[in-house]
Amino acid sequence: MSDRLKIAAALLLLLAMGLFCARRLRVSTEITFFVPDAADQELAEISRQLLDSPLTRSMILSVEAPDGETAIAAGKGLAAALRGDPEIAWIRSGPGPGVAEAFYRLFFPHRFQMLSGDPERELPARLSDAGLRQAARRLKGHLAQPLGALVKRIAGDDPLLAFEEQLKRLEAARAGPLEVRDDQFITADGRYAIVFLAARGSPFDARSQGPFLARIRAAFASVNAAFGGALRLEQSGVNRFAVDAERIVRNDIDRISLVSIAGIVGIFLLLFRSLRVLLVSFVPLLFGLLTATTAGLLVYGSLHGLTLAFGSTLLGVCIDYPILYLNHQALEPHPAGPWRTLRRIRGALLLGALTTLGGFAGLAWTTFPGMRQMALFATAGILGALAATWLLPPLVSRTPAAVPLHRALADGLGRLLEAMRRKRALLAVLPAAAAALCAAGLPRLRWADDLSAIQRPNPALLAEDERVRARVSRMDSGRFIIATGPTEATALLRNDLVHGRLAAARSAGLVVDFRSLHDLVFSEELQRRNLAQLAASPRLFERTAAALEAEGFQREAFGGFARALLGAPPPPLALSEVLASPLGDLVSPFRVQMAGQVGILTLVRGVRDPAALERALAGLEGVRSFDQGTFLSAAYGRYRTRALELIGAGMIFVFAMLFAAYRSAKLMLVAGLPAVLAAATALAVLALFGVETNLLHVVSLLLVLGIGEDYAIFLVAGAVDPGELKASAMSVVLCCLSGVLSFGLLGLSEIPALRAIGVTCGLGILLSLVLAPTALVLVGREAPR
Amino acid sequence: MRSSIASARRVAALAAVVLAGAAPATEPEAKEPVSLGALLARFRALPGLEARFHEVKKLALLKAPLISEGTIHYAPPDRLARQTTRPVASTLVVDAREVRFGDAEGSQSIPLEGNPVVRLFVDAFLKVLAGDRGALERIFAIDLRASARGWVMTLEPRLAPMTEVIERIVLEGKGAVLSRMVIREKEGDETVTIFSSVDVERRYSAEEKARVFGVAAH
Repeated sequence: MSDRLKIAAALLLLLAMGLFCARRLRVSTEITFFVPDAADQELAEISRQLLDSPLTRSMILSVEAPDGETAIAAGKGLAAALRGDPEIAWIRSGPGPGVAEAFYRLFFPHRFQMLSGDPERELPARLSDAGLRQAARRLKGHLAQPLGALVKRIAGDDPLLAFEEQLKRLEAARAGPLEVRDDQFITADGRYAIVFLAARGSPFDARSQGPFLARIRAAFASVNAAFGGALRLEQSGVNRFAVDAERIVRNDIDRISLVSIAGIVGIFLLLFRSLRVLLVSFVPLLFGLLTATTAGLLVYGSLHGLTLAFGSTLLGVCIDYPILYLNHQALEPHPAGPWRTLRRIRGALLLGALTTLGGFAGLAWTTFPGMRQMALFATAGILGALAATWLLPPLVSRTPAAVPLHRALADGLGRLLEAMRRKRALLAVLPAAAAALCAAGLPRLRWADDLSAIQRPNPALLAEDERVRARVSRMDSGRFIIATGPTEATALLRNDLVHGRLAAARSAGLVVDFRSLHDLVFSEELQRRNLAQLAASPRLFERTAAALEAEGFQREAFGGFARALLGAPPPPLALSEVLASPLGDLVSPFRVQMAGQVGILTLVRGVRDPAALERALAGLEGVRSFDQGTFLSAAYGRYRTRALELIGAGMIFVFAMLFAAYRSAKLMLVAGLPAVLAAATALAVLALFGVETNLLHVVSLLLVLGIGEDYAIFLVAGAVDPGELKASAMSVVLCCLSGVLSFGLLGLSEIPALRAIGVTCGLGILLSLVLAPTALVLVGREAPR
Repeated sequence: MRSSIASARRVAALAAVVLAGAAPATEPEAKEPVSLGALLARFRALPGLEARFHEVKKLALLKAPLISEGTIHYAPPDRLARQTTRPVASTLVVDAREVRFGDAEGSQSIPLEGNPVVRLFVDAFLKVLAGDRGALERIFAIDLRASARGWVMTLEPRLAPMTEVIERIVLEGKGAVLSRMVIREKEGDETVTIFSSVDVERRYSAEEKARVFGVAAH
């Protein structure tokens, strides 16, 4: 294939990938990116479901007003302004007039099926003669009350007041700090009107949620204007954090890319003084980024913001290949032409790329979806950039000779290295100092495995979110009891048992309170057990009628009760019926659908001793106590350990490759050890500065190792010839400059994860540059084969 | 004979004295003109109200009427407490947001929002005492007439579901003093409440409000 044909084919490929990425690029900021999926499959699945569930799609809008009347009007006004928004699945500023009626229609026919949560223990006493007499007295007492007219309406069908008990359970389930005035949710102090809504889209889809949040702000602005600007809006919603994170990531990417590129442009123009060389040097970068993005989109459908931000730092790796080639071509061109120059450094290029890939490939064995995506992105990007480096000879066939500055710098570096080689003992100070730093710093490493160390939400947004949530819910955030089962019926059955255990735990003071779906819906089995107890109670109607008569009731008024007892009972009330009713919004957050499993959540408050609560739930099949924060922290801790093991395994693989390439144990160590020492020293320096390290620091070590090995490999490759050594040294310095520029900027990111990557890599690359010459000390004049 | 006549006169005089306190005056009092606006304005001006009540509830469900006694308390604009002492002690407290009830079995509350039926029942009495004409006219067709003993206000529900349950409510009183309330239901059941010892100048201190309008299990 001719050079022109190769270039045309490459351009077509570049164009195709560019178009594909432009059309399909979707950036997400899902927190599930950081949820591992294998350490505990079930809990990981629960965590994943909870992170994108009706709970996370819901928003709370809080409108502060000078007085209650204004708050009510403003809350209603805001709900009216937002109603009809295409992104809103439902919106509610008050319970609505139909809730009580809907509850009656849904539950009254099933009143006897939900008579007791423990029918075998409770009902025999309640249905005994004495119990029925007590029920009759209770009914009479209710009728004597001013609202007795309401009780009277259902007394003939329900003299046991079973429906009233259901109502009490509903009230308990709805109980919270909120009150309702004029069909508007409002806080008890009358200052804040509350509007609940749920978005249709994922809260992590910044493309839909960003404009949606803007529409909420606009709707509020118009309402606020109508009230003379006296209102204040505060919001709670996962989508706000996602949109904010996406904005920060995008800003970081823009800033890093822009400044990195500007820096590289400046260096290239200064040293090569050729626009053509400059443009050509970006070809591998472009190929690398587009290949990585295309591969990521093809495999995952969308790319996480952190992958893109991490990817932008790949600029620092991918630029190494054109830098090495262009320096060699400018400073020490092969007399037979550019292809021969490339051929001369081909081994170093391939080995450098392969060792970097070896490190990243290890990430693919991890169970973190985010890490796997980053690994794929990096691997594809490096391969794309490496392949595109082969386009450079035809593109810069007439490379201008090195300018005096370029040559002077290269000569200076060459002389420095030669001087270092002559004074080996002096040069040994560098690794010795690094080793001393490692000895001092590594034992001081402190690992931070909680989620906030990786993705810390905007503090202002977090404070606002917590203020709003406190006005609405009294339950603990992120702590649940979950009853799972292969079917909804099984999960509900287990949820009944959870309710019983938690009620006992509450009595024992292990938990302050809890909110359970059991208060609204019993499992089908429990409903049948209630009916069985009624059926087993001999002559129930006769005895009830006698008890009522004894309390002064007219027997014939209770025909409805007789018909209900003697007729065929309705089928058990199914959760799906409740979900489809106007009470559905109240119920849906309790249910999560997992792969092949249904989960029923119970929210808890004031768990004083999680271990004691675990013991209280012990022995219940399919029931787990779940604390999202603890779970994720434990998972990160496990993964960090695993990542370190993988890096170790990766290093063995890399050293094996180096040995295979050099066929020399000495050269293998020469090329590999400086990078390992640089990575370890970077970690030690962070520890000495009191930085708490986390998973992302560990993953960043892969980049440091990959880049550091490139430097050593490039120098070792040029060690045989002083001219080539100068070109290699110049390349390594330029690579380091571009790398430090990229990662140093990342180190300034607001996002802890990106900051961790930036600081570790920036420091590691700098140390790699400092330690790379030690390779020359060890290699002597031995030429790699 | 003279002593017999004297004795008969004494008994007759005593009877006249006793009956004079219970029976209507033989000469009807002059009817004072009464307007709804003026009457409701007097209710609005109440600093508070306390009264004893005696209630007789005739229900088709029961063979004999249910009789209750106790005290009602009202603190404007929207707090009402009914403390029943007989036959069973219980407390029912109403405010703008909920109805709370407590008896020997415990306490419970019913939010008025989402319970339009309960709300209408609560408003029927509360809005009269609050003198809220707008709210009353929204819920009821109101007929106010002067009577020999003051006034009679008849409230006929306009809104469902109250229209399905209540036929009419008749309130009787003089000035701001409510003396009798009759609730006639569609199915024929009837509740008659007689108020006595009505104190229309009752002012509740903060401590009294907390005590009187709080609900505890009895």
